[in-house]
Amino acid sequence: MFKKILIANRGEIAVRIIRSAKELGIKTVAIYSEADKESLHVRLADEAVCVGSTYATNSYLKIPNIIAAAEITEADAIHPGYGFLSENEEFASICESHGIVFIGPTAECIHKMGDKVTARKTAEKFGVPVTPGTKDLVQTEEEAVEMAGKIGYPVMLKASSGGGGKGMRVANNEEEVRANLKICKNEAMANFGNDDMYIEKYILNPKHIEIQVIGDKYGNAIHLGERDCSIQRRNQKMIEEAPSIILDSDLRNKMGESAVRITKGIHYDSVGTFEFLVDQHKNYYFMEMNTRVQVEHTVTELVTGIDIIKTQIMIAAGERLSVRQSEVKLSGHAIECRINAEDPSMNFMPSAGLITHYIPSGGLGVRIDSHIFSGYEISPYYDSMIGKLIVYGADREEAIERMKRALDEHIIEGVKVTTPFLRKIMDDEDYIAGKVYTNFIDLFMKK
Amino acid sequence: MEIKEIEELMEILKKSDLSYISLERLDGKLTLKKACIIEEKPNRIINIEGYSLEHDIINSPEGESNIIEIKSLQIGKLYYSKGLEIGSMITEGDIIAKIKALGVLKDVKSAVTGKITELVVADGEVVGYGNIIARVHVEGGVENV
Repeated sequence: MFKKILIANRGEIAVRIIRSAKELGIKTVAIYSEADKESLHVRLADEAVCVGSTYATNSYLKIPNIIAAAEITEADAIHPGYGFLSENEEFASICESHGIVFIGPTAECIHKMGDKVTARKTAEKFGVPVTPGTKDLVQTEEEAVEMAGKIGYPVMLKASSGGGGKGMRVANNEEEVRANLKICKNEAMANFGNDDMYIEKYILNPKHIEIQVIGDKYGNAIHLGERDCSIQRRNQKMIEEAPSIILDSDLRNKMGESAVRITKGIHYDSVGTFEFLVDQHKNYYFMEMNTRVQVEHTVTELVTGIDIIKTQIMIAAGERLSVRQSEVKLSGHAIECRINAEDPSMNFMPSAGLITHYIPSGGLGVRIDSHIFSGYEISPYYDSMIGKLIVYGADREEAIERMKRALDEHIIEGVKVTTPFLRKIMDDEDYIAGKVYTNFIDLFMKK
Repeated sequence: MEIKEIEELMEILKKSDLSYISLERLDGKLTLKKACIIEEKPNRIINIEGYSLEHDIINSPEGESNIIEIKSLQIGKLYYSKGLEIGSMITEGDIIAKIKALGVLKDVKSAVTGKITELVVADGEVVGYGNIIARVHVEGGVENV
């Protein structure tokens, strides 16, 4: 096992990693920028090294400084957390070449799954469904009709150079393909000067479901079930839960097996997440893989009882997966709300400044992963997420009631936070009924 | 006023955040001033041969005494130059220390001419970005830097 690890991150995830490392008897080294001098991760770690000035490019992304900090503190390994250098294959190789273990997958795995196009090809290679679509551009109307028929209606006609909804139309049948193709081409030519088109399966109101996997260095791999992350605003997740109410055990096993097949196939040796879109007929399509720990790993921890960070560290240290697939049992229901220092009434504008008063919620089934405290100054230079409020209940109903109670108790003063917005969602009829798809926030905000 | 009393006042001033103590009694008037006040924000960055040194400038209210803090912009183990000690005179461009990291020794050159008043870290100790390495007394005021 490692004697000392350096955490190449900040905020709540740095705190989260320090906690697991301490429980494993591993010493920790925090790195920080000048702006984060007073941060909680700096206080909690056994040692701390300032690696640069405020901007992340001069500190948390400055590879030579981070490697130097690991070397001088004699850290055996580096945990990259999420974001920053966590999916940087170059950083993973540099760590390796300096004899420092990168707590994550090999640089080769990051390469294979980091790029969306390559990842899609890898998924197809292992027989995992991806959103059906044309591989090449569609040249003629007849060709478009033929391809749309093969893909299956409804389809989305997309201009290859399109964006902002221009040059994009849904077609539900052959006539609509013919009519809309012309409109799209004209629109694309007028807006982008290029009318190249392709066709993709249109997934109506999908759910964003992801599968947590863990692989070790000996070819063992398991999945820990799913998380439903459909509540997103501009592709940023806001609320996540496990399990998803739309998955029955058959679909869970099928999706889990798909994810494990790729994990084993590419010799993936860390924790990772496969993101899928699930349509209303419960067909699932691979979107991408995150080759790191996720923000929302907490809900999986609560329903499985497995410490994902600890497992990740142990696997990086060369230990075998100690849990078999048959031993993974999901019980109860967990919900996570991301607390952001943002003003929902001002289009979620970030709100930096001093936290004058902070009373975290507590009680049975409430977990808070955060780096804030009364007197903490929220820097405008980093991500606005200041914590995660996670609840566990015997079932979804209890978890929702507990989340309402926990959000009401959670007091943060001095900056604007998203807590009141999240609290409103907990009372939303569609949310309670589980009618939650990726367009949820758009619809909710129109209510 | 007894010498002992003055010494006690000096001790109080030293331990406090005050910059000076002024005392007026029937037997006379006494003002004790600290040699310097520390300003928190660095206000000058000097580059020497691509090696950047950042300084905190420390002034007495009257500008009588000027102390410059030399900070590290590197991460590594620091070794002061041989013979360097408190009271040593250094000239601009002198190598005052080396910082070792990733197998490379990098020179820390002084951006100022003056007298070392403090060597802040222990030899071989780890320094991070922004850590103070040394304090230097600069004759003639910081305007000369």
